[in-house]
Amino acid sequence: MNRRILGIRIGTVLSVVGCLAAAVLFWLFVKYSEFDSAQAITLMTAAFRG
Amino acid sequence: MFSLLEISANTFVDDITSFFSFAKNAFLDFSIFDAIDILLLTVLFSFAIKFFKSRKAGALIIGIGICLAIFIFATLFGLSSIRYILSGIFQIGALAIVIIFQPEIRDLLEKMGSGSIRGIRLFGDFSAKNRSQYKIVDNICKAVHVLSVEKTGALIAIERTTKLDDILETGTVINADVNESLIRNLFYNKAPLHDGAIVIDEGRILAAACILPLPKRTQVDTNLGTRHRAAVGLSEISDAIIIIVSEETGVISIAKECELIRNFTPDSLRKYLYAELVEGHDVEKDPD
Repeated sequence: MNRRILGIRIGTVLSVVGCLAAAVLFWLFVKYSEFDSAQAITLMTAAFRG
Repeated sequence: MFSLLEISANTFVDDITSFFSFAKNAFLDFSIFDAIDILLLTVLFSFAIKFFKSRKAGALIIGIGICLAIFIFATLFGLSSIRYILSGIFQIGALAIVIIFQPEIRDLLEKMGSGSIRGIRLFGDFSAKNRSQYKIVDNICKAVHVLSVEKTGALIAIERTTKLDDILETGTVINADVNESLIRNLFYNKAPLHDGAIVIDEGRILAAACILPLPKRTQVDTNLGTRHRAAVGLSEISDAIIIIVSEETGVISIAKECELIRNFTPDSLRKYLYAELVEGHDVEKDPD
């Protein structure tokens, strides 16, 4: 396999790994936002009830 | 002021610590649906990168990234005015992107509905896509046949998985549907764009008068001219199929993967291209 095609293949693999890493971070961020919102609602409800 | 910065920094560190602690628990409760969620996100991000890259929208993405970074900074350090402005921009920005890229989004949705996207098969009418691929090959073959009879030199590079962006930059953008008359017109020896190669991809003539590199490693018969050498040179650095029509003899040749195959007849050329370029082509059967 010539160098250019090998370079392109490596680039594709790195791109996929990068997308996977971004997907994991995004998924964590969304989960954290949901968790944070749920916590905030719980705290507000508790504060309202006194 | 420094105590304010210290408080902000401490809050930032606390938030980060809380996030990492949450992340650890999230992975401990990881389920199959979370894996599917991440996989689909990966595919989505991959498509988005290809989409913006093909539209040369890199600068747009960098601009959006900078705005996002400033927004996160403003959120973390309580810069409420900046956050307010950027929130407004992001709300309009999503709509602006849809308006700017409306033709491309329409094209993408049509492709999803009518056939497969490169590398991924989706639900759709495969026979319609195959018929169009056969038609494209037929147009190329008819043009090559006429050029061969007239002994008009031609160089046609058909892009496959290896992108030829740097080759396209050396030529003149055409971006037209593959058409027998257009191919013949481009190689007409008094036409300004007849010198060089045309590059075809996905049924479109992307550019003409492209300069192809000469071979570095492959030995080419010394009786063959620069046209054949250039074809072999491109086949060294990509998986493209390059069709050559000799100006001296009218002989049709193909360069592929550092190999030069000579003396094609119009029929053998058609069969070869069907086998190489039409997805799912059965060499035993004739097309519809």
